[in-house]
Amino acid sequence: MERFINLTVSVLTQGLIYSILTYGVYITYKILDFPDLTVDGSFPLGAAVTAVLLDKGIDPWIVLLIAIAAGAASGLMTGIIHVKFKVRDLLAGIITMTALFSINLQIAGSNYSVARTTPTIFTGFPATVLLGTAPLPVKKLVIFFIIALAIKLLLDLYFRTKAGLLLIASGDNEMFVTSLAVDTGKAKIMGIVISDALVALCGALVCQEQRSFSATMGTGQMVFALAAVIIGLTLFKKAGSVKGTTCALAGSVVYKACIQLAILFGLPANLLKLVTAVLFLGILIIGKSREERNA
Amino acid sequence: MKKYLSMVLAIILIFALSGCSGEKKVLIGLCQYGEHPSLDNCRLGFIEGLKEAGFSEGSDYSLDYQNGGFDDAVCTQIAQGFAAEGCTLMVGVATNAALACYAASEDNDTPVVFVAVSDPAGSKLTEGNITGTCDKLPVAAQLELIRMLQPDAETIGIIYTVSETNSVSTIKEYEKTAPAYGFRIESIGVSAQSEVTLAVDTLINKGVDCFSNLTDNNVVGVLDSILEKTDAASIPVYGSEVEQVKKGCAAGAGIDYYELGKQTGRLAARILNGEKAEDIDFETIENYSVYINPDKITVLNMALPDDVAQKAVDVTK
Amino acid sequence: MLEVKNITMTYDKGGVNELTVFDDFSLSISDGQFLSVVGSNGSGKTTFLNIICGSITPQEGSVILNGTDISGEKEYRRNRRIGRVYQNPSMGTCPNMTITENLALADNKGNRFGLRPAIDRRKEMEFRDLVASLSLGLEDKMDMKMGSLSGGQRQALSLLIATLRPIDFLILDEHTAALDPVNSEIIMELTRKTVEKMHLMTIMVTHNLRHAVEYGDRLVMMDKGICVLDIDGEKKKNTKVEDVLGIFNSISIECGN
Repeated sequence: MERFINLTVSVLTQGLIYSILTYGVYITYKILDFPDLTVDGSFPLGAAVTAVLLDKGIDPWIVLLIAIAAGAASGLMTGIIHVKFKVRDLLAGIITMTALFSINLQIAGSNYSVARTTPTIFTGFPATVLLGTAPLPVKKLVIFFIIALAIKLLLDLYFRTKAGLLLIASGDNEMFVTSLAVDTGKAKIMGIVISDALVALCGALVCQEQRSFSATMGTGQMVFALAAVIIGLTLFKKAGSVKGTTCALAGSVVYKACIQLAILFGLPANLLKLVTAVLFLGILIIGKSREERNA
Repeated sequence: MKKYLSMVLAIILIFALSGCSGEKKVLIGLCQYGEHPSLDNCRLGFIEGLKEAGFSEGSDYSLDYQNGGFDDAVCTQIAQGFAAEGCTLMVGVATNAALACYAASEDNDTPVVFVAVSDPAGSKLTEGNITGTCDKLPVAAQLELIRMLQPDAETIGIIYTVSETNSVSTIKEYEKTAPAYGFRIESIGVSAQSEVTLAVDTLINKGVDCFSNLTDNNVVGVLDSILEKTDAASIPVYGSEVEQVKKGCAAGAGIDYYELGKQTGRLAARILNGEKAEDIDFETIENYSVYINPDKITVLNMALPDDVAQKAVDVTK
Repeated sequence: MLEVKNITMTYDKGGVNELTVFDDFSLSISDGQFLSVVGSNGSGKTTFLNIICGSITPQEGSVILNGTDISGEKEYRRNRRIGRVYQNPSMGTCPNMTITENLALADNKGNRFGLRPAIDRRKEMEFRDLVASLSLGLEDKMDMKMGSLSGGQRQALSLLIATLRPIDFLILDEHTAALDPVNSEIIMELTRKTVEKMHLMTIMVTHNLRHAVEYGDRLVMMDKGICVLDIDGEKKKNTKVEDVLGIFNSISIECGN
């Protein structure tokens, strides 16, 4: 039973951390209809910045803010390449991602570890005061739950503001946005910036949790997040009553639970990607057939 | 709603069932970064090392072997699974897997043993309840071997992956040591496996006298296509590990990863016998072997000096 | 007053498909005028609208609004003063957003889209009343997605959205062409009421000669980039559909249609 609780805590924690990444991809993929490949570069960017700054002794919460800013800058780059230089969406993301690979190596090398004595958001203030001597996994779960929920609520709130509504509109009908005397390009860039800021924040959180950065940690994150968004939307989206952000969060947890199950059953990691692909396809087909039945 | 509820219940049930194997026995969780001949040898050697020290798999301990498929996020989940299972000992094979195990042990203080980490201090794998073995390549021995087999050679071509820590640090070592043996290093850093063969062509065109391999996963992964090109150009390739020489490198001074694994297994046995991991310093493997592939040496019209032939291991036998 | 002066517009200049639509074309429309534009395919009607709105830039000539040259203004900047309803009902609104959300966006046209809440209770009631004034029963469907409404309903809302904020002129780009006859009449009636109430300068491009004759106070027929017919005032009032049809047929025959 103890093992079961431990595993559940671990899966929930992982799902909650990665939900931040999933929110980001939800914004670009689902709202803006912009497949943003920057993710594979901005995710490790957040981690690289975090590893180096934590090591320099900067407050872990301030480090998170800096990582967000770095991610926003990478999103801005993709946005400008796409909007101002009229490079196609996929290519714009690939260009930034490729550049970030080198930038990340410049920042933190191929690997960068943070010593156990360095405080992180889990071991520093205010976690120590609020959660006292609770075991670390519990602290992590609580902190990630608060962060994931807070960001979800913030995003929900944002989508109800004028700027947020405009963001949704620019993914829905660009011409309509132009007719509102707004530069659609700017609205789009704003969306990509928010998305990559979230992605980098997720990278930063993973780095604080793992105490290490690796240049290859971004590989496949885009695919994960896309799968999580689609799983979430297919399983939990019911005619507008469930918010997209909630679906993204749930999708992330379900995906991580599936991986944990695969590991439990001793599925060779070499087959993991194949299983992911099959799961992904299955969910897409279920979603499609349900759509047709409802239509 | 009912459907989701039953789905959630099903998942909970699966987790719960899998958690019911509650027998109290020594459980070792071994996370290997990915599937790779050198890393496989580490694992097999580790099991053998434990056995020599009196711990047999099955009767004395059970092994939960997991493979991360070169995915850091998967390694994290594997390691946290170990922690959840209440493993007696976690073993990380290769740096990233070791880091994942180390992170998962932060609170419960499960001892961690790492295998094949090139720079334990740089990776901060030295503080806390952790020990293991370091697989630094014998660069000087390799340079000496090349000098003996190719007395006139001037430049050595090396391809490495810029994102692999081990490779980057080994390249530095090569560049530092090479002049003492009268060599110049021509290195090309790649960021993906697809760039490796292009880099081979570039180096051949630059007229390097030979290639030397690191234990770079990306590069070693496409060794066959590298050899195809170098064979066509009659340029020898020196491996860094026995498996590479078996595959068709002319020779190589390298670590026997099986031995490295065995050495680590013995460390693990000390921990199982009650020693604390934090009291055991990590060990660097000092013994290296010289491997030769006489068939390849003949094909390339190279002379094999007697003193090399005597101390080297013939991989074709 | 809107003036289009000495426009020259050639598509694919120097290319194999070079096509000159306008060569020194000028037209001016006075305030409050409701102008209907008819013409065969390729006569330059749509190009004319696109030049006014800034969707395309002509090689030569200028667009002058109330004495100010707006030729250099970007399309989205120009849209502050323009309302436009398209032929395709899904172009003038966001299909995946609700009626309320669409109206909330339109209501903020020309202002900053900042971090204030887009919709509040008071606005919601205001939008509801506006939609009720269309008499289509849509006021009870404010939370429905635009895309789930019929073409006629969407065009009615598009018209409402285009004229929600004060604008200098309204562009109707064959806005009834995709509708069935009944809905088409409803939308035309709604158009007339809206334009009269707001006393709006309006340019309506249509393929429906009867609409062109029945609605508006000025009628222009275009062919190959020139106005072959331009009537207003009493003369327009006395014009019958048959008269216009006669001229239309004669230019169409020349074209070989």
